[in-house]
Amino acid sequence: MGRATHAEVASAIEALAREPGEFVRLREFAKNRIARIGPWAANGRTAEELLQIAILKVLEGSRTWNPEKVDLKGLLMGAMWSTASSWAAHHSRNHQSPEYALSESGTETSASDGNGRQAFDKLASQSPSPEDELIRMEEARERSEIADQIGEACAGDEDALAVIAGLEDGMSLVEIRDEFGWEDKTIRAAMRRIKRRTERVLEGRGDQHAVR
Amino acid sequence: MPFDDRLGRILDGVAHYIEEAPAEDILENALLEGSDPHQCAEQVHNTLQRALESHRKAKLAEARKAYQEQAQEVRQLAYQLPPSPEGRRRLLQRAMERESLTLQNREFSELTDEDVLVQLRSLAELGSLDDLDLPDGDE
Repeated sequence: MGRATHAEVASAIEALAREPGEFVRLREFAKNRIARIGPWAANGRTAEELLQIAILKVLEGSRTWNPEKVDLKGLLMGAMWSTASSWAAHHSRNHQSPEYALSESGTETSASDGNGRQAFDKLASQSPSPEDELIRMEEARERSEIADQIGEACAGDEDALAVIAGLEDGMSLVEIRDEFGWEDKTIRAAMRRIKRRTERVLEGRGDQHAVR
Repeated sequence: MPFDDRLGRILDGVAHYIEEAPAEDILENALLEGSDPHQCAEQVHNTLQRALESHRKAKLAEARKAYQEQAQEVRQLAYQLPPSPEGRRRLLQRAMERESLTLQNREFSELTDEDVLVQLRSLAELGSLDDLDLPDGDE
């Protein structure tokens, strides 16, 4: 396992190009991750940018690659997952901990007595500001509303509703399939419908939520 | 992952479906969603190619910068060294004698001019050439 060479990555990309479905999969996955973290944490970054960052992480070696264990497509999806996740974590910490936001903005400093101290100790509140709290609540409210709308869009589709309920309870797709004694094709068909309806819901909420 | 809420869990489920679904499903979904899968695949291909190209250019620029820095170092050092390969060879011999470093005559004569330069650079970095007179005719 190690750093992938430029030639190895270039040749893996050309191999993927022979299967157009795999490129479409990468785009769908990137869109999904941007939707997952929401427009607040994505902060204007698009699915295309997420994919670009993932491939650059592979090329720069910050994402190691063992081609015997995972193909480039799997590697890129892993890199996109963790990158989007870190954006969301960063966004969440910024809103929940002003102390973190200050240190991230580079204003943190150490006092000459050796005790770490915030540059604006006297000014910074140690708890989220009312404005941050409001943004966080608004975000949570919107996310909950979107989840409700996805459920509504699946009304009458018993399999899809069962899958959604299972996912909301923290079950994996395999666990849901086994729980209902379904075949693979049944859960796949339900997921296809859920995916399509989820995208429609997000698109219907306007530019802010549409996944580019 | 932050936002471990209902929406997050539904979208994680969709992500796992995208990961595992057969390629035909993915292509069919794209068609049903009204996008042209081939155009979409081409866009992704272009995105990856652009990233490859920008990385290649960045690496080239990095290598060029490193080469220029190294060349500059050699030029600076070369200024203090005898201009001729024979002179540099004599200087190396003298420096090695002073440092009580010995090489068999055969080994010494097998050193290429480049080897001599590399050895002199290392000795210069160690300060072993300080106060060492240049061989006659090479000053």
